Amino acid sequence: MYLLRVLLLIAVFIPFTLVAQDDPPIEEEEDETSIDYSNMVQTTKNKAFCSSRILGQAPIKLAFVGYDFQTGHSLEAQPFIAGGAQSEQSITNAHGARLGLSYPVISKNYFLLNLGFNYAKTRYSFHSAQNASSNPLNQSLANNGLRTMGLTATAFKPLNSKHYLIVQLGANLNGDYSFTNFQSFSYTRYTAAAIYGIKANDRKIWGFGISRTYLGGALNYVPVYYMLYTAKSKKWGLEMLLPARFNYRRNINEKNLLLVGWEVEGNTFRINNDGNVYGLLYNNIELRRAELRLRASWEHALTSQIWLSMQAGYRYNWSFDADRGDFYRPFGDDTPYLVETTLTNPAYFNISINWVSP
Amino acid sequence: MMKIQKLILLATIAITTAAFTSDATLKGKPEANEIIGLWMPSEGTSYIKIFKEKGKDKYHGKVVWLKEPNDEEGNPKKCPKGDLVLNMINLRNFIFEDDEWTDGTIYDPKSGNTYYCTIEMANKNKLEVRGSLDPFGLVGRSDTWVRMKTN
Repeated sequence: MYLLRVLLLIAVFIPFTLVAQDDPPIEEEEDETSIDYSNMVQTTKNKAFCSSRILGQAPIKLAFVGYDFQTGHSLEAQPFIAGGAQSEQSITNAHGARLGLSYPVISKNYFLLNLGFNYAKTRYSFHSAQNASSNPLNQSLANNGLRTMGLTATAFKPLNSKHYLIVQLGANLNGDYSFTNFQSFSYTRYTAAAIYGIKANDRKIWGFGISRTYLGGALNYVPVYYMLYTAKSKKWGLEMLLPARFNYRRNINEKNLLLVGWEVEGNTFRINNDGNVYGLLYNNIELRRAELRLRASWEHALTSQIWLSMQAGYRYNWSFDADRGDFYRPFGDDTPYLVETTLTNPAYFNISINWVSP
Repeated sequence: MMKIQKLILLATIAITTAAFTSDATLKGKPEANEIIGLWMPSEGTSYIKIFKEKGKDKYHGKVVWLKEPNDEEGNPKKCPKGDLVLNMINLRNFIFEDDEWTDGTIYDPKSGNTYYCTIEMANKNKLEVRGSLDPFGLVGRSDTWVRMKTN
């Protein structure tokens, strides 16, 4: 409730509102109506560039504050040490705050550069805290939860009126750390993506590329397909960056959008064993977390720049296993992890207040 | 592995540095009425005629030409509000102050949104038009417009 109050206060007090424009007639000082505008040339060369946006697309989130909640599920984990007991635990819920910022540092017709920051915390409430201490992974989740913080730089470079390049670089610090027991930056994980594409018209932009990603829970290089599309009727569209996310968009009206689709969330999270608190032989355990979120979300404009987003769906576990160090693992690699787990799949909810660029 | 991480880190630093250093534009000292004329935004799909309001020191802009004047159904293009785009006044109420045209608004007939707007003259034939979400121009987008003349 406290978080909800904070979100509503932010919505009320953020001062930005788009300009309301009335349209009174204006009389020109010198009206020249007889000019043939079809016979004009440029006084100086100005190359035409395509823009990154299309008609009808979901508003771009410049900042958000949100809360994510997963319902009860269970975690069955193998022992970390040979001969140890297998552990099965009931998780009452997993929840936490999420924040994001994205600032257009350069926003010109010939070059766009956005710098972003994201933060997410997931707290795990175990049904029995005492039993959770029987396994290092459970113990870490129960005591510290998981935290991720990251920076991204996204550049959009139009090459001409049809073609463009997108380059994205990211650095994330993920683990069971806290602000008082911060994680070393040597565990930073770096991601990158590059896309070459075509802006076909005002309703469609698409492209192909490649990404260096941890979305599958370990480092991988994945081809990506990007597309934003709005139908001629402007009542629906598609927004995707495959395989990471896909949305069918229903433009109900100017103030309401319905999105149905999926998003993959994943990363590798360090489990801190400094001082050998878990009695293991090593201190480089990382949790390989990857999940598919099948969801529907309702996006509602509270004001032209403040949107409320309410999301509900099913969180399907892809990987919640643990292994040592950072390594490349392509799709289809079935090499067993050091510790494999079975995490069942709950419903989840997410609410956020967003400051958007409409 | 470390090599790739270092490369990504270096590229991030390079882009961020470029972000703060590549924004310099050579500007002269324009006169207020120099903005009057016909201008083409960078997309090259329309011409905007900027004019002075009769009896006032205010400048406005009107869409006077469209490369594709009709929509996909063959009807004259309209904005989301339902008004015809051709001959629409989409720049309003600019005053000339401190070598720039300010306090105005720009209407985007594609999205139907109106933004705060400031116009600077890069040279006699180029304008830097910045539309923004906030009145201070902090979050916005700049576009280069070029002056058009009779062939």
